[in-house]
Amino acid sequence: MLRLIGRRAATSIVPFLFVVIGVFALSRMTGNPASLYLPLTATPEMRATFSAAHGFDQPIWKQFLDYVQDVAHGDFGTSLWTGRPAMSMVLDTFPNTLILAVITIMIAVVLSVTLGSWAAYRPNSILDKAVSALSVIAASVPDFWFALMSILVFAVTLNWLPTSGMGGAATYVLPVLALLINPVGVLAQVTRGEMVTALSAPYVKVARSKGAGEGRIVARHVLRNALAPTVTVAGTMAVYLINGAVVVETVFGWPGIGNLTINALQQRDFATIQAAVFVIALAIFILNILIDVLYAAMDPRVRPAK
Amino acid sequence: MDKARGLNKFNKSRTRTASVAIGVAVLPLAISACSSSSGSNSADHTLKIVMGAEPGSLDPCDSVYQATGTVLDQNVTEPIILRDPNTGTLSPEIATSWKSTDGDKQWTLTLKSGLKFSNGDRVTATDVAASIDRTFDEQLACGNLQEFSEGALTTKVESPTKLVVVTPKSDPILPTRLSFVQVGPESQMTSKTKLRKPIGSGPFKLTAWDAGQQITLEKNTQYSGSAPTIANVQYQWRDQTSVAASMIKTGEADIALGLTPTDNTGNHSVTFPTREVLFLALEGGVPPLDNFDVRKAIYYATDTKGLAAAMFHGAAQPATQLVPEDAVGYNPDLQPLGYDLDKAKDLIAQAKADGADVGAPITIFSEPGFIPGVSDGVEIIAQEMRSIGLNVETKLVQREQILDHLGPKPDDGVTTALLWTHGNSGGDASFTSASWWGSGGANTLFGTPEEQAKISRAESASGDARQKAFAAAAAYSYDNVLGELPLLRLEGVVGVSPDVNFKPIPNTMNELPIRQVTWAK
Repeated sequence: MLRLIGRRAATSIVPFLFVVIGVFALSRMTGNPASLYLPLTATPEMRATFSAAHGFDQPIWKQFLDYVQDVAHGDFGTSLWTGRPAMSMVLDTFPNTLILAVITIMIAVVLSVTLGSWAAYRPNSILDKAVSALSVIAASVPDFWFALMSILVFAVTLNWLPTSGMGGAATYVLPVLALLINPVGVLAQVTRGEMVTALSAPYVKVARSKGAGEGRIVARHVLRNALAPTVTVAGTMAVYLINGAVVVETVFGWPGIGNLTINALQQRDFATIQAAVFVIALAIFILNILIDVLYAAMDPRVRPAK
Repeated sequence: MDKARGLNKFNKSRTRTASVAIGVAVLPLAISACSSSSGSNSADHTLKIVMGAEPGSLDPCDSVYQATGTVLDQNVTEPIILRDPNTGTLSPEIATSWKSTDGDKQWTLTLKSGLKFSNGDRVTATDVAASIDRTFDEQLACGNLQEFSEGALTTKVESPTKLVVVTPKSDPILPTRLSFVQVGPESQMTSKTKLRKPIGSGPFKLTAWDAGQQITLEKNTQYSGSAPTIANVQYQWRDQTSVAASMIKTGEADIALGLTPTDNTGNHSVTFPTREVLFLALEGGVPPLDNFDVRKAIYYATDTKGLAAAMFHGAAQPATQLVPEDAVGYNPDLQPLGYDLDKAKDLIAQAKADGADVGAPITIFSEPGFIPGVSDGVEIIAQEMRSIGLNVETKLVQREQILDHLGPKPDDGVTTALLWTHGNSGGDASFTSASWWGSGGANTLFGTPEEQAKISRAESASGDARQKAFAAAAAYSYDNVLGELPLLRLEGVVGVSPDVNFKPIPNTMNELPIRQVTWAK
């Protein structure tokens, strides 16, 4: 297993570096922040002074070398917009995104595996058709629209929940619900499909012929085989959520890393963009390793040979 | 039998799993039933304000920025001189009096004695000087710099209550400019980074800024004026105006700023005129815009009412000048030309007969997303211009690309028109002429020497003469130049809950002194 982790880590370094360099270069293509931070009435001299003070007058390769040197010393720079250390801002917001992602993916997996298995166990039943239809709808609903509708229904009309913001447990419900809808739909379909295939597999017939109980067959044999693709898809969903579910964070005023990154882009806050992408890329890199490890634990065939 | 038991076991297992899943999903709902945040705000005496964006900083030198000014201006910090937002009249605040010498180049301010910051330190001339100097720190790029188009000021402290301010050139409205300077202690005003925990002498002090979530204020016990009736204030921000509007309906907010006419607050929306004017600047030095008839034809061809409906859902009124109605220099006699395509076509025909190259291409620039419906607005104007025979293309580009086309510059081969907004929050026409009006404006695309001479004369006048001179210059520009076509005066929308009394004014876009708000019950 350690070899698997080592191999995945080694192969992930190049894309990780590519992302960091790419973001550095691309963010600078959005223009010089002097044109945004200084009033339109500012003179060219003022703009030149501002650019020089923040190093934007240097060639991009020189800016990049300075950036690498600073990062090597743990310094990700200072936010041009807030004046705060960029990495502090990112580390303040990332846990807020992470907690939403973890809650969402846990509920999504439990719900979708339950519903998908249930539907697969009685194929073509009313329950199966209902689950299939609902999961297609859930997978297709735009999260932006669903988020706004959930505010309208649960906050404005029923007055059960707060509209937005982050605070007590109640404030988590609507963002989680909005994030949950797509993953539950997709994962329920994947689980159902895999379960239907697995339930008709020869080893299930063999197990039944040997008198194994249905519970044991489903839990020990069918689910174990059917869950591997579900885990892979859930991993992809988790990557999306950890990336900062920008739309949902924006609608609910959730102080997550997606919201921060969008604001930083709008403000041409290069240091914050770079720090955010660094953390997101690192998190995705770790998450991918975790998914591989989990996958290998569930399916011995994908483990590297000893 | 075994199979049946097995199925039964599986059914039980499924039931248990489903119960866990439903429980996990429903738990937060149950918790929320006990901890719903909706409810009366007046009960806990916290005024809740929701705005469009989180402030970048809470630095007093950024108080012209909407989010920063809303929190700080006249709440946490106080300006040197107070400007009445309705009349533009100046009154003492930190400075009790001011007088000019040397042809309005040197101003002596006498400061209130006994004034204290919320940390207990006295407010002295040194603090005021440092607050002025901070505005011009080039490394900080303070937002308030935009109100000082005449150049950097120099300060000289004569005593703890006397300060001399020297301007680079004659500036009869320096006191108005100083109304933008919010005062903080020297120890903070010399900081080389933007402030997040400012100290001021206003009726409130900052208690917390939970980044990304909220800012809270409480009464400043050191405040020398009458104590505010509202004890605590909480600011939140939502990108989606529809969500901010919903917060009014659910009672989560008392005031929601920056809404749009389509946001549903449940009949709690209030519309008010702002000082923002949508205009089309024309590069009048190059064909075909170098012909006055062509510029006038474009004005006739622009259906401002249709534009207001398409871009702002009707929340805008036709404008005749960039200077707002309540500012010194506004000319009440100017009337909108009105939408008249026939007149526009006649003018183009006349221009053509006079030898104007009306087929020369014009590019309308604007910045995507800087105001609602900008892409629609640009296309509507372009289509109207095409309908009278002009050759027009549109470009929505980033601000630095727009900057390339602004101000005095050699001919770049592009005939520029720019759809932009201007907000004169200073209450004097010179804040408009400094940027967009006359050839002396920093960004202006066109002006004539005669027009600029009239503007310059107005800028150096004071009192009634200043009003008359600026009004005359406005009439001259309207009748003879039309370098900037004033299109619409924009209206703002705020949500106001029934729990509070609050009437928005044009400056509500930039500042919200809490003393303007009282509890309804």
